[in-house]
Amino acid sequence: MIVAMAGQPNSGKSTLFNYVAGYRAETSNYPGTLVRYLKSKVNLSGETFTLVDLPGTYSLISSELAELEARKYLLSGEVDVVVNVVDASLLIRGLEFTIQLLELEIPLVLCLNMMDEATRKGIVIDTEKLSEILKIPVVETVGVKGEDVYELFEKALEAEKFDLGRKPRFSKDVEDIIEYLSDKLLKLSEELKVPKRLLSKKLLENDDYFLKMIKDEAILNEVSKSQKALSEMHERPSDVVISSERHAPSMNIFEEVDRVEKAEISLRDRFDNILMHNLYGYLALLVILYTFFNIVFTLGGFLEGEILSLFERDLIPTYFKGLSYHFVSGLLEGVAGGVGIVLPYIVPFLIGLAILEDVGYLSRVAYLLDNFLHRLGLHGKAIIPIILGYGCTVPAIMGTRILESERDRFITATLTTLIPCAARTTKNLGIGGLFHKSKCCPWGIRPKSFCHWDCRSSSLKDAS
Amino acid sequence: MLTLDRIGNKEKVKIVEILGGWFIRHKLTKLGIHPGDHVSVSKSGLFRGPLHIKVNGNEIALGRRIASKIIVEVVK
Repeated sequence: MIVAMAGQPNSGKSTLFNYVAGYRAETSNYPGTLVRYLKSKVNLSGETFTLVDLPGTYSLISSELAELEARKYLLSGEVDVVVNVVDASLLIRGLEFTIQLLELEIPLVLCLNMMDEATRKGIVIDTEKLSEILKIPVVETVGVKGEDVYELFEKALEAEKFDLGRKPRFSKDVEDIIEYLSDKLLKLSEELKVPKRLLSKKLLENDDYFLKMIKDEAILNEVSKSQKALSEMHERPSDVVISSERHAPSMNIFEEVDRVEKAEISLRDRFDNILMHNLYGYLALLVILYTFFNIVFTLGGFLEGEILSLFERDLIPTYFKGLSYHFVSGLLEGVAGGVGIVLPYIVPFLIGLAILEDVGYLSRVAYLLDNFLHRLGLHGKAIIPIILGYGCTVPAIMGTRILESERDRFITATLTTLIPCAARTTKNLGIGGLFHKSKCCPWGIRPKSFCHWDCRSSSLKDAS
Repeated sequence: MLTLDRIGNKEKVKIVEILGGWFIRHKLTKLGIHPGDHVSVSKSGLFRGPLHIKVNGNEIALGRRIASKIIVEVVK
């Protein structure tokens, strides 16, 4: 049995996945692409099933590769149950995706995740009513705390017994056109193994992938005729009509099941007011980055000194004497240099960056620097791999995958190679030390190797 | 014609229409922004930086160029 988890980005899908299956997950790529998904065997109350974590997708339209692959997988016929993970604090947006998933005609379980966040925003959701309206099981969870996660998957295993849910009806005139087009698509829908109503809606939404699948000229004509009829009736492009038709029931359902109480003004909002302020935000950015790099290099300098002295002073001279000392020290000092100079800086850097990412600061940085990066032809998000480049260039280039277009990824990857990584910075400062008399680095950053080289530079001078 | 990028801080507006091609319309739909939605602008970035908006309980940072494709009317 295969259970697929589908949901919008940042809905906490992966947290739920890791909670039940993380430690033995295998990462796979969709054939021929760089789009990755996670897969794992899970044993739950005596039953074993395969859990698949699909890439986060906003909709079932194929505008991005990840979305297209996720949709292909959902339509492949392999999936027995879909668990739709929704950020409960963003229910309206989530429901639009849920309504699309219902069209797949696969048993569906709705998971309202991040309930704690929703409560903080003052959102109270009547889950029973929601379940009644959509005719699918609805489970509330808090993924980060593991609350009710097992209940969710137990429900998912039972989902075969449930019916396929109730799809909200669109307005009469739109339904008529969908109906008319679906009848024309009978053969194509069988060929592609896509439910005909889903297919006809996607075609009305101008879905590129499905449009290219149509070989028959007559059907293409029918599609464009229906698109035209729809847009003339509503005086809007046909894709807007369909998406509005999906938006309206989500709003209605939301209003029926949701009660908004007074939201707490959280600490986070207060922090945001400073961190994203037009003046203080940039000052805070400077202070935070300065502190961050200072901590990394101070800590790295300390660790480097310890590791190097462990090798050079303690280990090698104790165990090796005479000729073997010279032989072994030549070999081991090379290793010590690699381990002792590179790792002490990269490890604290990556840990620090992970903390900044997890508390959400990096997306604030992206907001603050968006304007500047736009001048380079990039998106604000590109700052994340660029900062990562100060730690190590390899993960930075791999990190460019978060950017949407090939062009942005290329520019950012090229730029990150020009940024001195932690190891290069230490070396640069060290070599700087050779030519610079003062023991103090202009930025207050003073790695151990700087000192190291500094001593050697004075001995060089003495010798000369 | 009033567009979203010309809206000042703390103002509330309603989206009338989204201009631009399929890709922009689709991108905004994905972010939960539709014609008819009420939007409030919380902050706008320095030197015509991105807009920080609230729509349907969601907070989104939107670039100026895409905001200039969104026609709005001020809600009294």
